[in-house]
Amino acid sequence: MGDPSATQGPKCRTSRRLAGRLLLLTILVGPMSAAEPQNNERMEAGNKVVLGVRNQPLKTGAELLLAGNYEEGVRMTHKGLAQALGSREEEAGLSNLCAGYLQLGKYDTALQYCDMLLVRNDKHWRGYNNRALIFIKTEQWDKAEADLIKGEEINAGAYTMKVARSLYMDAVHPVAPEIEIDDRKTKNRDEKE
Amino acid sequence: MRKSRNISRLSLAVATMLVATFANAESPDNEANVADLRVSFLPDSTRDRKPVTTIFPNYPSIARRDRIEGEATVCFKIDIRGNVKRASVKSYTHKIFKKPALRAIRSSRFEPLQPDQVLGRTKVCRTYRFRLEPLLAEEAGK
Repeated sequence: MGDPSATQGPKCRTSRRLAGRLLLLTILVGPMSAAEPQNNERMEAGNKVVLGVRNQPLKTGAELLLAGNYEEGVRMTHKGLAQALGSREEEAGLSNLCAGYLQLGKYDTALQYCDMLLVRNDKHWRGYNNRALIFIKTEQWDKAEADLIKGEEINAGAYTMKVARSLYMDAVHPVAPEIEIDDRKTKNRDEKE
Repeated sequence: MRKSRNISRLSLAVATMLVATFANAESPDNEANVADLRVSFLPDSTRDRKPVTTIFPNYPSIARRDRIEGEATVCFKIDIRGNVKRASVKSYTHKIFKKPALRAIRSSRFEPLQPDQVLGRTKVCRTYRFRLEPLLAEEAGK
């Protein structure tokens, strides 16, 4: 099959880029919220009571990634991952690194972090979503489909899953929208006042 | 005063007739669909009011994303000047198609009533069909 994106107009390409950005935004929002506990939450680390954000580098990294500063975002996320406390923070860090490297076009590295994430937690739908995007980018359609199915089994209603599915479908089964206007009279169709 | 109003009405009717026959309904949230949208029109040759401006709705972006196909039938009246009045959705297969269908018909225009014609009392109906046609490998690779 040829490159399906070749048939799309410039507007469509722009919308795809926009969709990509939106996708990344949504990918990152969840993990970031994991790194940022509620303001009034109290966490005890030894004999010290900490109020507010527990892992500042992880939060900053997520914010930088959201802002499109991927290099710096990835660097800060690495720093945050090094001082992560608990599996939730580690998973958030790995997910964000996967998304960050994906945006940087370093698909092999991104895949490593996604794999690490899914080894730790095989119910992490964002991990499947991110990995499916890597496979879509690298045109490994069967693997992308498998990850999309797994992700949809866990969270079918997620917006990011729908967008990822749409990217996959547009690449593998491209369609052209068609609108037909039918003015022909059918039996009892035209209404009497 | 009344004379100037009549002149402006007449100029509006003339301008409407001069507008291109087919166009897409403008919708900022669906701009991306305009470039690759395919359209077709099956007119009713027996109808006395001929279309002057036929607006095609945009394919709703969410429907396209989720691969939703369907149709919406709108019924409406055409006034003396050819404007669409009292448009309402009569039936639809998915509610996502209601708004674009209504928006399109409200922007469409028909020929003004001729002196020998009588204004019809019945509503006329138009069906918009939204389809996603698979692209062949050759088309996709172009």
